[in-house]
Amino acid sequence: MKYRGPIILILASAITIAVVALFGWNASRSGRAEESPPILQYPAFPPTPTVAPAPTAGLSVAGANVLAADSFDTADALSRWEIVDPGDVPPEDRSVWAVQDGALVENRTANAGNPNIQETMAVTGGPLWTDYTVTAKVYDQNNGNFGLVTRRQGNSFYRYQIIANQLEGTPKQTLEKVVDGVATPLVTHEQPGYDQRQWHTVSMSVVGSRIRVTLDGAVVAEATDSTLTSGQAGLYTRALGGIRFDDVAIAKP
Amino acid sequence: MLKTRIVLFAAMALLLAAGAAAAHSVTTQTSLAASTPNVLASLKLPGSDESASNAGKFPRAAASGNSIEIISNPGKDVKNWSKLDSATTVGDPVKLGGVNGNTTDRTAAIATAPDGSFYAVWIREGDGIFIRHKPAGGSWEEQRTVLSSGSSLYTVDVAVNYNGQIFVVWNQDSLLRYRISSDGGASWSGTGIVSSKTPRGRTNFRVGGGPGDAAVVGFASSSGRVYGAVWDGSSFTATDLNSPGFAADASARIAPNGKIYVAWRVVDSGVYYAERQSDGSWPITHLAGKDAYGAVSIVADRQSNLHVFWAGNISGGWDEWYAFKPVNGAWQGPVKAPGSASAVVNASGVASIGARVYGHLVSEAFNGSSSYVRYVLFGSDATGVSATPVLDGGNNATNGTSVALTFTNVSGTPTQMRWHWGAPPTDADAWQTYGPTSVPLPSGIDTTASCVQQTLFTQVRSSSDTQATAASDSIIVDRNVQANVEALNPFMAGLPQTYSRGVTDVYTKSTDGAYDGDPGYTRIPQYFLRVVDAGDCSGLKTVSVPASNVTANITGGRYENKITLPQGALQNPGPVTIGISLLDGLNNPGSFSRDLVYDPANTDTTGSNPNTDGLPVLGSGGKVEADTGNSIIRTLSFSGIKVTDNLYRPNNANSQFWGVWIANSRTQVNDPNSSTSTLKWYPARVSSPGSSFTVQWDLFTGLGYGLDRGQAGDYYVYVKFLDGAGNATTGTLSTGKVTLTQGYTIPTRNLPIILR
Repeated sequence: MKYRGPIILILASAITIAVVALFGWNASRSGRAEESPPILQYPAFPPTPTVAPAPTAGLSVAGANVLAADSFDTADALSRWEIVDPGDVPPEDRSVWAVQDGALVENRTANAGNPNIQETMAVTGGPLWTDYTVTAKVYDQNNGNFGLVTRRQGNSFYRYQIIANQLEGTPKQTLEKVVDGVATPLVTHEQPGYDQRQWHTVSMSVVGSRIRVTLDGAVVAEATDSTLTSGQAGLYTRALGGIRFDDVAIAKP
Repeated sequence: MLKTRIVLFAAMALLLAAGAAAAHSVTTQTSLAASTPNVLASLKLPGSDESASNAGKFPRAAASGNSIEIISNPGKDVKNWSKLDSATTVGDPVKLGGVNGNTTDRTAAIATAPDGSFYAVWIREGDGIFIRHKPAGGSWEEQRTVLSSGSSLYTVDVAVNYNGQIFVVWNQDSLLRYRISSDGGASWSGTGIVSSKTPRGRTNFRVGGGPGDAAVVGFASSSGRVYGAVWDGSSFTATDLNSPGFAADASARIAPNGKIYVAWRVVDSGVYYAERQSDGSWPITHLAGKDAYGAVSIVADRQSNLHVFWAGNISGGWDEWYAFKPVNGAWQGPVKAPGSASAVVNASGVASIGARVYGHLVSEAFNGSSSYVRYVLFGSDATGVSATPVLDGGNNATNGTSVALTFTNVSGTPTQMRWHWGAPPTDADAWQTYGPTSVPLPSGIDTTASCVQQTLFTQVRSSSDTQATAASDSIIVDRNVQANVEALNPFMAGLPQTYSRGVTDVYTKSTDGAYDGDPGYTRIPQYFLRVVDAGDCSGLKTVSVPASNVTANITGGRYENKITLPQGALQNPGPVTIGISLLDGLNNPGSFSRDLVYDPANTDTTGSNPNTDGLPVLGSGGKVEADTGNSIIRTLSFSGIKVTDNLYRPNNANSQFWGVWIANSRTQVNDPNSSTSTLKWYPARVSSPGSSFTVQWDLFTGLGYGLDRGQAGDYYVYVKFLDGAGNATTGTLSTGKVTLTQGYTIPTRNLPIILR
């Protein structure tokens, strides 16, 4: 269960955090130039919407069929995930994932917070996982890409990815197998993509040679392929930040 | 979820606290009127579409006048796009090379040189760093190598200072390194290190060039500090700019007015820049708040107006931003580029001044499935006034006493102008009505010197504004012809083979002569004319010898020919004066006079009474003896020599000869003047002709023996005497028999091993 304390306590905590942060900020300025407000002011934009609650609070999977489940309520949740940046990514450009506000957040890269279009995955499980369904809730502020990964071993995996409607790239949806880093599309859809700044639920099932993807309850891709038979499950996006995953569950059929 | 509300409250509290802490240091600036920049175009550069893994990274732009050049590396190809500054479309790119490796690290860059040309550089993985040059208005020249080493090279940048020094800077083994070329990239210095500070990542730096030999590198370190490294003529000195927060993605530029800038971003705090002061300090300006992504690009246009480009998510999406500051005004903007339905990052830019003040932004864009290079054109109307002088319509040299002054790159509405030779104008230089005029050249120019460069500095003003930085143009003053002119004996040894024979002479009749002699004499009615450019800055154009009816163009700065003497074939023996006229590229005339003595064997000018009166005459009583050493080199000792000549050394009775003409024989020759003689005669100059002298002589000369040690036996040496024109005496002296015995010496010189 997630924390549901009284409002007054929240406000008190926030003020405490602010004071501590300000103290720390001033302390960190020792020996540095005097800070001044910016001389240019940006135009006014509509405020960025706050992240709405996920469609269903909490994680409701349980039982013997559950291989793993995570609602990211504690900071140590990150330790249960392996972060993978495919390709030749120098250390300073590696993606940064964090558990923030009860979700797993992709937070751009280690390069002073710069965004990067490189692919990144958070995977869990082991090489013996064969047939399962991975489900996740996704809220994309401004990343533009997310997806799921199944049966991952090294640079080989099945992947479903979808592009936001706010970006012009197509095809919007791709179900593909990636073998030794080489992607082969199994299913592509030019349209539709997904709308940012709202929660989506995505799932991907691998049972035998059958692969099935649903988005917000509707089947969006199905394929048959027997190339990859087992491996990890995970989440996919690009190291552009602005995206959060929550209530991830991997369960056997 | 309530967890989002916690963040919101905390953020509000932080904002309140931060605002209270910062409100005491608001900066106030005096503002000159200038329009807020607006967006004129935004587009995808054609040919830049690539997959995300081969994305065109870190696009760069450079400006020269109204020409804009853009460069990036999509698909691992180094591509260059060209456009005019006001154009709202861009044509297809030109491929300059390839980077081979990861496009994130193996980047390309471009810079403008003070002559208006461009230099493009890039890293090719495994091979090194390469450069190409594009002259103003020309095409890209062949690739040259900056560094032929291929390992661990990440990100490259280039700048050119006003002295023409090219600085190429790159990241290698976690240090910023550089090389310099002072000859347009033909040769490069050794590799130096900008700073011992480790740069953050592989891409956090830029280099800029400025007036004189100025250059600066801006970079952020791995510890989040930002540095300005200023070139002092021999090395870079890096100064910590004391960033107020974790710094990244710095750039640096030097404005035409010499001011040095470094801009960077501070994580979660926005865009900052610092301007170096004369005391070496770097006061910081917080330009824009909130957050910025990737590179922050600061540039200056030719009026020293500042332009800054960056990317961020201020609107809640992916934004590119542009701000503009007139040199004497306040910052304008920031202006947001139109949304592109793509993620954008690593904005860079350049600025130009034409009909308006233009900012040209280039950035990396990703549309969710593929990447491309994006271009955005901003324009603003600055009230600043400026103009660039053009002397004599752009000619690089003049031979006049004044130059025509016009202007180009005119901004605003100038009404007055002033100028000064050699330095920017001051209040001592009177303002005059703006417009084309004639400006006298400085009176103190050394008119005898070659190629004197003069630089005119101008400044214009309108009713409301004065050009902040004087502009200049240079012209070479060339009022003389610089050339070496020779009229020579056409039989001189050492002349081009086209015009003289070798040195193996024969004597079968009295008119045969030697192929060497006094350069001021000729035995035929011809002479060898040689004209060589001696540094004439407009180049030699034509040569003429009116009396010889010769006019010719001079190509490659050199003219050589054998020319008939002015008076023709049957002229009187004796001194001849040859008048030679030259014109250089500016039609400066050069008149040269050269004297030569015509000294033929036959002095008859009627053509009906041939004679040998022009030959030197060997008097009786002279003799020559060879020494008795057992060596092929013998000293020939002359005594009792009396030689008379009609024209040579007229004031030296009995020693009117230039040298001797010597032949060897293995048998005694009864008549060295025989028409069937096979003797080979060799000229030898006698430095002090007189009744007695010596000459060192090789008995093997002309016999083809080389260093043969089996040529012991008898030799006979015969000697004639030569006048300056190479005419020979009919009289001949002989040494008589000269004997070499077995074991004779062949003098050799022992060379060091290294020279053998």
